[in-house]
Amino acid sequence: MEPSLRGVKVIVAKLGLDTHWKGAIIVSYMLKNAGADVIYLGNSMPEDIINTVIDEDPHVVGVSSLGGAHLSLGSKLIEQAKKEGVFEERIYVMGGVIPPQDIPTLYQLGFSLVFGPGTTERDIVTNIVKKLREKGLLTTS
Amino acid sequence: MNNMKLQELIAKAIEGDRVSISKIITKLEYGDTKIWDEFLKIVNQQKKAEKHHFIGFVGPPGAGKSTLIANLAKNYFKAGKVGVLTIDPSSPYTGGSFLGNRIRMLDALRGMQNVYCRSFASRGSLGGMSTEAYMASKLLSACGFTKILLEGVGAGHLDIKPLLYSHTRVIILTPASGDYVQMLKSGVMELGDIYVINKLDVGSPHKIKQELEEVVNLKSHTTGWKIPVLLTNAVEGIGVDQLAEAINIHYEYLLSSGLYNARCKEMDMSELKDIFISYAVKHFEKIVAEDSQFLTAYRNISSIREIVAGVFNKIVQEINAEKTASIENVKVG
Amino acid sequence: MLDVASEARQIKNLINVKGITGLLPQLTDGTKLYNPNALKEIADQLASWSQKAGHTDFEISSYTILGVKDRLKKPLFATPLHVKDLVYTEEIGYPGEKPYTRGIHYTMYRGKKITIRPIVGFGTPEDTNKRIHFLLKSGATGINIVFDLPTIQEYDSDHPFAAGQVGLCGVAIDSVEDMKALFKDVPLNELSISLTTHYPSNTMILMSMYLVAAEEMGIDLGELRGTVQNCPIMETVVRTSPESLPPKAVYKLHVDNVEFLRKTVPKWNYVTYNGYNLREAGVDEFTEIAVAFANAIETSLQLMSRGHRPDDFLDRMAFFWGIGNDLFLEAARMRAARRLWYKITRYVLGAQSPRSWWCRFHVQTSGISLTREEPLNNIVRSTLHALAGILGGAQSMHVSCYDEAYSIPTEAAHLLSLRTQQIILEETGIADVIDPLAGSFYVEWLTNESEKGILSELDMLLKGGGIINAIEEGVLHRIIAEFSYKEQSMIQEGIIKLVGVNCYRSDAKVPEIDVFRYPPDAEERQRKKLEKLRKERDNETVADRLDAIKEAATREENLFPYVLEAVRERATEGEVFNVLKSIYGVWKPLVRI
Repeated sequence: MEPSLRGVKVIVAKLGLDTHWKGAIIVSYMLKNAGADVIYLGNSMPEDIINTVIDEDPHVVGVSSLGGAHLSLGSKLIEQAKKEGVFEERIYVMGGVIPPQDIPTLYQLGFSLVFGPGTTERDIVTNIVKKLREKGLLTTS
Repeated sequence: MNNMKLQELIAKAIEGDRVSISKIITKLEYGDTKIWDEFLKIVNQQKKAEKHHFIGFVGPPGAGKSTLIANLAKNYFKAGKVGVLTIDPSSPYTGGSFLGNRIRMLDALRGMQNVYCRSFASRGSLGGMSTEAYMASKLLSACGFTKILLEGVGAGHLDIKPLLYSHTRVIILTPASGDYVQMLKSGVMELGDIYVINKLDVGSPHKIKQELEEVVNLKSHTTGWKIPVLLTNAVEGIGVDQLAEAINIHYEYLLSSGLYNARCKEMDMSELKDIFISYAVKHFEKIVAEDSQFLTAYRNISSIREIVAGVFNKIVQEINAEKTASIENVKVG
Repeated sequence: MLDVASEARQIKNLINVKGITGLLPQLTDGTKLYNPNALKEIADQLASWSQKAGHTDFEISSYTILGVKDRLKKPLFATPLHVKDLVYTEEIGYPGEKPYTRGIHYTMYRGKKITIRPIVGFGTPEDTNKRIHFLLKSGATGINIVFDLPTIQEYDSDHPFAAGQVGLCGVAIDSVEDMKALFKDVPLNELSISLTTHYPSNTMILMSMYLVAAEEMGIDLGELRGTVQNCPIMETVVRTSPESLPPKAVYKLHVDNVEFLRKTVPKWNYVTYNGYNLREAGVDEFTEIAVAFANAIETSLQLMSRGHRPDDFLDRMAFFWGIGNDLFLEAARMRAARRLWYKITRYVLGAQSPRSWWCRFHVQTSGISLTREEPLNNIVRSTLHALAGILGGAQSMHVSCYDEAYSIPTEAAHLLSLRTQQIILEETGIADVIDPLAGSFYVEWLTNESEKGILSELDMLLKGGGIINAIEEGVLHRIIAEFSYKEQSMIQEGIIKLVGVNCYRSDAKVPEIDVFRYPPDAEERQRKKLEKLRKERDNETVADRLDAIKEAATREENLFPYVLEAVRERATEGEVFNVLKSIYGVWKPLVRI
């Protein structure tokens, strides 16, 4: 059975000033094809992303970082989420060009998944579904 | 989720807690229809806000709806709490959607604490707007949001729901003549209270305005409302003040003419009809797929009335059984 | 006799209705190259060959990254029949003469060596200055500066948006002081300097800083040679940003830049139309050139509306192509681009001077085509790309470094890039003969197909509204999004083959490559400099100069001189950008998938 993201709302945002949007759009395509409702925010600072999380209440918050801001802005994102009370009841996911030595730190900060470049569509969707199920956030079977 | 929790959430929402508002809307959208009953009961019990104003905007993609709405919310509707609900189509194949309107309003709405903005997928509902989105607007109005701006997508006859769920109906076109012809063909022209031609530097906006005015003048004679055709340039903020004024004037007109209640009634009728249809369609597919007698009867050209009655009876059985069944997903598409 | 602004209006209307194809002249009946009897013989023989070979797949598409793929069906082999109507004098011609298919200069590489122009930029200006001197010593004849993300997106290094990103992927420039430090002891009047200022808006700011820096270094602006990118497509389509200016404003600033630089820095190339970055974002060989040409046409019409005649500005226009994997198609489409640009400038825009008809271009070998896996393979890829560029007649080239997928290049990788070009140019004899591929049935056929493909895209973009409208309606974004997603799927399914990635994957241990380590604390060093700058400058004067920009905008004047005066007083990039935002507002593109 193909893993499906029907009934799942995802925010896709770019952390920092990185200028490439193709990757984030491709991931948005993949998620939409798996049935998700995708809100694409483009380049956004942590505050804007979290304000969106407050109003949109997504199951997944996905951010991509290609410009080196994954730790500095990534930690700000989680901090802001906890401050506004929207860290729980959803998963935070990071993708992009992440130096391998920084990945454990991201998990410690609170990211549930970290995807490197070249992760396949199947892997992205399957892993998100798995994590959502683990956290009891998937209402459908 | 039980009544208590929903009641708690709604109480918090009414006090102004945004996170609670969002959670309720999520339950409405992604939860199941069982909570609709409780939700409507509780919401209808709330002291009604002063007559709330739902304003619907439809028009083809690229017409500038998001920019106009953001501008209105930021500059002209600052006084009270404003809800912005935007709807994008769900893919009929995958069920997924790309909700691309919020990004275009981000800059305008930053820091506007009085504006709540939420994106919806149409979820395969006929008319391009799910019932849940309308319910969300009811929630917002119960929470003291006096103006709700509903943004739809597309201009064909299939995507007029945001207008049916609104007191004031705004149709947005660009001067590209293709839009105008589409409009005429789709019959949406019957519904507009205010017309906007956006983007003045392409095509022939004045010509289109003239033609449009001729068409709507015919309608204006039968009601007390003179339908305005406005020219705007949303990106540069030109003409948005006139649009805001027209919207406010129309609101006054609805109140003073007594039409406001008639519109509310129309809106609730639309909602009830949609709820009915979504129940019917959802169960229909299951029933007819599982029980071949209906299809067989139909193909043997048996009495249509009997077949329909038979399916309806089964639907009623199923709906009643739902009360005791476990949580199920309500999605139709 | 119409005045030039009215002419521009007329041309725009004609394009709206007829597209570009409708405005190009038909070929005159020159003498066909191939003997009809010979052609008939070949046709007959080909028929019997087909029977003997029994080959059904006579036409096939190549699936390359960023390639046209199914849009082009290639023959199993080409014969004169593929170009049977070829008129040598009209379609191929001679180097330095119309239609410029063979090259824009009489002697091409024999007379003017290809400029070797490597990219450089990281950390603080002081850090980059050291690398510049290294490259100059190693034989670079031009330098291409790349800026860090905060500088590109026009935020100062101490702005909250810039956190964690200062000095990565490019050099940080906040003020004129930084520009002076960047070029300390570099003979600006003896070199060709390319500033990769992607956008019209940051071009205005950064170029102003460069000019003030040059003046303060005692250099006459008339001696400066170089290029700025200044591409509107970069700002509105290719790149995403938290805050973008609206397309119409971007084009206005773009034309301001062209107008000002043309007059004040006569030897400077004031634009390099994309091209490369657009292609890398996700378009194919034909769309890349079509969009660049559409852009150039729009700019030309706007300049004409301001009263400038085509021959006054076309001679410095330049383009910037990427070079991908399909070697012969890459070389062929460069020939087609030259031929087509000649026809457009002459017959659509009405330029009369031959210098206006030249399609000058810099090329960069594709970065996206390089892989993370087995990075040394990328040296091979880049070499083939470089070869295509030279065969296609590029005026200058940057060869992407093999560690492209990891980071900005190490010195060793950088050196290898230079050597790649040098070896091709000095050791192989390839550059001794102009346009060596001409006459190949396949290449001439590809050149014709390229021209057709580019024209049909150009018509699609320009008919019924022009390029600005296409951008505002999200047409280009949609093309890129769909193309990219489709290509990603093809790579995952193995239809597009990537050696070492989805075919011939090896478990063998690959040599560890040295990855560039960024100099630490660039952000901190820039922050300190900004603090000092803001203390030491005359803040009142700065504020006055910034206000002057705003006032000039209300009078619809060219903003460049006002920006220049502001940065002269040490206004920072972020401060000028704030003024531009307050004048023009911000804009988000329409992306729909």
